[in-house]
Amino acid sequence: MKASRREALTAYGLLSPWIIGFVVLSLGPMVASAVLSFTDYDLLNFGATKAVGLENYRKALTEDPLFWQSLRVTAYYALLAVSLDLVVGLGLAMLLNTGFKGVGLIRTVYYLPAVVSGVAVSLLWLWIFQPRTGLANEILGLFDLPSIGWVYSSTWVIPSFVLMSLWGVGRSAFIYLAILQQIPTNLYESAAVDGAGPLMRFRRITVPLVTPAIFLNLVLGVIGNFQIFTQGFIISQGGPGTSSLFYVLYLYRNAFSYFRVGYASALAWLLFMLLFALTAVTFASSSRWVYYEAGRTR
Amino acid sequence: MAPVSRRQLLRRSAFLVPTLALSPSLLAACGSDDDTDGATEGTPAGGQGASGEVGVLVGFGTGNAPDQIPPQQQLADAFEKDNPEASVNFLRIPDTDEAQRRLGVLIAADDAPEVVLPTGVYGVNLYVDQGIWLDLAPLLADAGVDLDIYEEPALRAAQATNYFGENSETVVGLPAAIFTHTVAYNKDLFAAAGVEEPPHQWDDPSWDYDKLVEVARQLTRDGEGRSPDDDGFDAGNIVQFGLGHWDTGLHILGFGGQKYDPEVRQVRLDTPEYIAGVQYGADLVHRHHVLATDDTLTNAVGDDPQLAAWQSGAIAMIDMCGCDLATWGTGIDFAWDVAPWPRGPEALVSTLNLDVGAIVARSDNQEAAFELLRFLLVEPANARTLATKGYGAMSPLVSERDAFLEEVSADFPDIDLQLFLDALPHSVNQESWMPAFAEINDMASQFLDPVFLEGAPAAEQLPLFQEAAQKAVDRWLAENELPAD
Amino acid sequence: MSRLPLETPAGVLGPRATSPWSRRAAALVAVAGAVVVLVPLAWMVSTSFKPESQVFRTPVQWLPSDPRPENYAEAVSLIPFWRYFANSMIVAVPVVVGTVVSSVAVAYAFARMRAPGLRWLFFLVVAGIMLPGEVTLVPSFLLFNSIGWVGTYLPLIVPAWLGGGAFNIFLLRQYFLTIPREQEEAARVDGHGFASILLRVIVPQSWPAISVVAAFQFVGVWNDFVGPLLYLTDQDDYTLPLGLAFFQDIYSTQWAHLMAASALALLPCVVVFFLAQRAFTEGVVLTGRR
Repeated sequence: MKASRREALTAYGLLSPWIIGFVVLSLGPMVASAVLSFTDYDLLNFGATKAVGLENYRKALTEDPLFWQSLRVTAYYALLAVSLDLVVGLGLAMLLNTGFKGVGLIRTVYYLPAVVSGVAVSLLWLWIFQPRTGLANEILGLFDLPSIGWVYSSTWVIPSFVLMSLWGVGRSAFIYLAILQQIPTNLYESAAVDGAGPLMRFRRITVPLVTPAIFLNLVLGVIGNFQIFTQGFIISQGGPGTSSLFYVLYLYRNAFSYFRVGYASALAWLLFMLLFALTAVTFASSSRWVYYEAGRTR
Repeated sequence: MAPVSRRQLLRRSAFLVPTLALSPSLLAACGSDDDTDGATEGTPAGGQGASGEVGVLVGFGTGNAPDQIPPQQQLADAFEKDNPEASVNFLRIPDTDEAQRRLGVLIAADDAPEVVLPTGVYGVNLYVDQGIWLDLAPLLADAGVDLDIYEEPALRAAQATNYFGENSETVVGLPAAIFTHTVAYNKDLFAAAGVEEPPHQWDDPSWDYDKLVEVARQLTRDGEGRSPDDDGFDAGNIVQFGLGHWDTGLHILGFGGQKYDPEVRQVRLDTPEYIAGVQYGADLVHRHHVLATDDTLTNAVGDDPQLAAWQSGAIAMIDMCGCDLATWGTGIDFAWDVAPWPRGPEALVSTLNLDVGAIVARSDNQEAAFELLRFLLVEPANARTLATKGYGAMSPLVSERDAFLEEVSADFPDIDLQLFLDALPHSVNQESWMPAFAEINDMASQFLDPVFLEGAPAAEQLPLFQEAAQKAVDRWLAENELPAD
Repeated sequence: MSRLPLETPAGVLGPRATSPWSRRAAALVAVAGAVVVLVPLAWMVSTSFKPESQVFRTPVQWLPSDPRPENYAEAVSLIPFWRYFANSMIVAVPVVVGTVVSSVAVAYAFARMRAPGLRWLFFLVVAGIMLPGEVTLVPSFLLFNSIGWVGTYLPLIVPAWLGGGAFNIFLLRQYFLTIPREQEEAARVDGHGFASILLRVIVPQSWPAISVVAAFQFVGVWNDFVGPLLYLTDQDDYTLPLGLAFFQDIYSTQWAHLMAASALALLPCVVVFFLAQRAFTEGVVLTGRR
């Protein structure tokens, strides 16, 4: 009643900066791009813009083989990158949550890939993936596995980029680590007293407690990885052939090289709809597998 | 952070050369103070005097290196001194892709800079059909500037005749710097293999594409010291390549291929000449095993494995742009020299790269912008400073032909630099405009990567490329008009 | 009511299980991974001490035979390094402060308050990052241009104060949701309002998450290349990533200088991260959760 109204008012008060920012900075440009997606707007000639109805969408879905190719490539990448990031990120976080001496320094080191200049990292990856002398094939050689072409091969270019993305796994690990700090140590103690083995404790305590972070990394990982751009843009320029023509790279080319902003806007909104659906499903399912305040309810 | 560079990891053969500008040295200084003295003294104030602000976008590939900025500023100051009512504002975008994006956004926001300098022919052609470049011809005529002052191939490349029409007088960019190419070779490797060095004169009949293959095969070695001519040659373990850092796209022109015929507005990617040219380039890799590719090199550290391989003596011959002299011509401890490009079955061709200055048609202060361009690119002393200080560019002004040798010869006393000058009549720019220019350029990797990376036959891939490209051209022609229509 | 050994936070298998032996094994694995992660950094630092002609020589010399510390002095004078450094700080500090303040407030409302439409609004927060920025770029630029902000730091700073970004809001919301409510309820019974509860109960327990937000945001804005290149006009206002890009020319990049300047530019991020991760252990000690 009165209290709940005051709570609602307070809530909206706290949210007001975001609401203002969203309406002015995000919603305006979003609506503008939505409108433009129904036109043939050409970046450099706004004056000549005509409404074309659903034409851009029709063209993308029925006539443009590169639309489907880029979507396929991107989905493949996102699937691999998100799942590996979830698994390796959590593993690393648990490793870094043990209190060995000097762990602070090591934690900092694991975040460095996100900090180091893109130039040094790109050069290094080129070197690692070099088919004849690169580290990657040397390692395969140790296990008597055949050399592969990595970024020079249309088959391996996407897995190569996934490996590169794993380099930055420290970022997700930091998020898990923050949540792992929340786990009261007595939970483990009492479980141990009750006779739960290490694996049991991991499954029954650690995993449920980090589900809020898994949910976060899943939702944002899907959204972020579907918008991957840089690697395809800088390292492979979409190739070989179109094997790394990521969706946003194709969109970027349409907007800023072919100047078809109307078409690019339609591509953007198609991706938006896909991500919206995927995220909505994830949100809807979350009540079944994400445990908040697990510490309290136990 | 900045992208690693415009280097393509997948060094596909150049269908079009996808760089917006090609001069590392344009507007660069040697570092000594007297670089621009000639400029300030030798140039009278241009015409009636310019006024207002002139924005200059610098960012297409080059022009922003730390040692390039002061001389630009000095020339701008000199211009402002001559034209007290005018001010020059540089907008420096130290990344080519971001510069392209910023220019697009600024034009869309109706807030475009007046001048873009430098931009390569690719940059000119990327935008020319968007109508963003001002036609400079009437302004040049008014100012009494005769176009004969420019080297002819440079002016032709800046005229975008595929777009405006063969006989059009339109000029959308004033040439700022030109670069020609030669073949640089490692003399020590030739001596060690007992192979005769290439001739030192353009259009020597004995130096043709067949001879190139023959020589390159003799200069290629596997780990056991065998050449591709020997039995048991191991193509999977080549340690020395006959060729590297090579422009395979140029062979298409040598075989007489032309990507586009402006007369009939048809793409010509599946003609026998075009297919033969592409196949010749692919054969260098897959049949003759003489051409190094990034994935076959063993010295792969760094930004450019081919550069590392050349410098460590693992490549016998490379394409040498004047713009590459500073990087590919230094830091090496073997004897080397340059030779002309070999002759193809149909034509003797070498590459011409060109940087220009252009004025944005939808900017505010075009009059002053033109005065600035004239000051920088027509006044001989200034134009010479802009073009040739640093390494490897030639002045596009006929009157400054000697500048290239004067600037570079001291650093390369043993190199036959005259060949760069003599290359000019044979030099062709490969970046000429065609409808759906950028789109077809991007398609090239889609259809040609299988040929160059995986050895697919050119005769199979090019008809597919032709079909897709013609479709894009037809679509462009349906939606747009050419100026001649 | 046992007093916990809080200095040793829960390990993989709980504190008891982190016997000296398994702790040593964890350390070994973690250090091995860290070495791999450090290779590009080592290459960067090594290159920064080499003469330009030696940069790409094979085999790689990890310890330059003829180290050239002058590269550093030259790098900071070839570009106005310290000016750009200061500019980066001028942008980064208000962005980080704004992000933390506004995302904590917004996330708190989403995590703890009941009001009609909040669930939908939260979904909207996430939906806001689903549209590729390439297509909102032109309208956004037009917007900032029309209010005269292009050429200033405002387009880079102000948005951080308006919500702090979907990632940060989401992260903090998730974290707040994991905090047990007992203490808040106790505080409410004592008559504390929402603001007081946020500052006295929630924030003190959330330093690990807040420090992650602050550190990520600092690194993000410190390394931001596209934003400054789109909105800044005057070279004197440029930030460090733009300054570093001046060393890269398509055919003649000055690698040694670039790496020297990059290594210097990296230092603030390393410091920030080292400080941030300390909050992980100390946060627990401070709050002494029971």
